[in-house]
This record gives sequence, C-alpha cells and structure tokens, in this order.
Amino acid sequence: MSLRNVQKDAHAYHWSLRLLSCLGEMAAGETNAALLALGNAESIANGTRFPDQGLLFANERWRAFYHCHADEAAHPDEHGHFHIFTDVGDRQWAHVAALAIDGYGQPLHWFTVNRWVTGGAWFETARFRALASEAFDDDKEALAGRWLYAMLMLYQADLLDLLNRRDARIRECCGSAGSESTFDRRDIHLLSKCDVDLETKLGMHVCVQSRCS
Amino acid sequence: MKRKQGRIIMGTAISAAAIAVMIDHTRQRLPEGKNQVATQAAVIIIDEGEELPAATTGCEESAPKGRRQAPCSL
Repeated sequence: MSLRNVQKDAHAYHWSLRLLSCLGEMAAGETNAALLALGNAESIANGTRFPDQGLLFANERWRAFYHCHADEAAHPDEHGHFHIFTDVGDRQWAHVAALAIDGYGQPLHWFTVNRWVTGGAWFETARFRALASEAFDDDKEALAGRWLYAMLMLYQADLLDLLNRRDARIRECCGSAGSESTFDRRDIHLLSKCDVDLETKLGMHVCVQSRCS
Repeated sequence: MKRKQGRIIMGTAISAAAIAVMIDHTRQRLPEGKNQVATQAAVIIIDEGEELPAATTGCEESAPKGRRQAPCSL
C-alpha cells in the first residue's frame, strides 16, 4: 500500500468522523445545515440569500450562502443550494462549487456553474488540492460551517474531478475563442455535476475498516 | 501468485445502521420557497433577425441591481 493511499484513507476517515460528529449534533437538535442557514425563516423569497452576509467558516477562508430559485436544470427534488466560495487573496472570493439540497435538508449533488452566474474571480482548480491540505479544524465554528467544511474535505477527490470536468467543459465551449468570452456566455450555465450519497460515502470510510484484494 | 494487499486498519467503527439513523434524524422539512416553481413559462415572441434573450438562472428576480450581472454572487 502506497504512502499516498494511506494518507488518502486517513484523510477520508478523519473527515468522515468530523462529518459524523456534525450530523450527531444536528440529529440531537433535529436540524440540518440548510435549516441552520435559514434561521427562523418561515418562507423563503425566490433568490433571497441565507444568511444575508453569507456564512464564514474555516477560519474565514470559506464563505457560503443558501438560496432557492426556479431553475429548469435543477433536480426535481431540489429545494435550494449552497453556493460555496473561497478567499483567493486581494479581498477576492472565487466560487468553488454549489451543493444542491432537497426539501428535507439532505445533499443531492455538487455542481459548478459558469463565471457569469457567481461573478468574482475564477477559481483555479490547481488551488483546490493546496486548500484541502491546509485543512482547518475548529469546534468553535458554527455547526453549518463545520458541516460544509467537512463535506468539502470528505468529497475532496470528487470535487477535484468536478472542477476538472468544469474546466474541460469550458475548453470544449470556447473553441478558438478564449475562455474569457465563454465565462460570459449566458447560454452556458451548469458546467459539471456530481451526485452525493452521504450514507454510502460515510459507510465506505467508517464502517469498512479492513479489506483485502 | 495472488497478491494480498491489506488496507490500514483504523479505530472507531460505526455501523451502517447507526449512520442511517443519524442521517434520518437530520431529515427535517425545510420551509417552503415562495414562487419556487414557475406556474407558466413566459411566451416570448422574437422577430426575425432579433437576438435570442439570454438564459437566466432565476436568481435575477429578487437580486439587488448590483448583483444582477452575476446573479448568484456573494
């Protein structure tokens, strides 16, 4: 077994436990990350962001908000989604991915969108691995933020693949024109998608402790 | 010769059933979104030679003016 695989296993195991700890707290409070982000809202106006100023987490290096809006491309069970951004320096935030949530607060899938949708700096995929290796761990942070961060870390490999597919789609669309022109094309919205099955994912890393092949 | 490859064995084991129960307790109904589903698609008549309207994400409807260029920006 290579050192790299040991590190990957240890990473997945660590973040599975962190996520389970968040889920335990949420289960005890009969809540979930979307409900926590929504606060006491009884109904949600189309497009309104929750929380209004965004949720800062992981030592304020990451920021997210939740909102709902009609979208033809959305999953039929989608209630809304978290847009997740990271600090890329010079007071700039770049959109990394969005996480679609169903009507019961459960994650459905990750997705990426074109730059005109979220604006800001374009997130360079090469930065993701470095960001994930700077993993931050703090129980004093808000529960929804800790859950989001544990999700980002647990799905690190999937998100890397998601971002690579996003980049491939941009390359495919831009043809001879530069990617800058593709970033503003309103006919290109969703760039890549990756399903989430939390129960299976956690089971894979926490329940199966030894395997032989 | 069949090669056996052991995987690292780590501490705490949690049963799949325990994970399922925990996740199930976090399944809580979210408040309804207003105007979440469009009741009827708008009919747009485009004259010959006119440009097609830009695609929208749905975020634009309630976004403040400054955010309309990038409807889902921070």
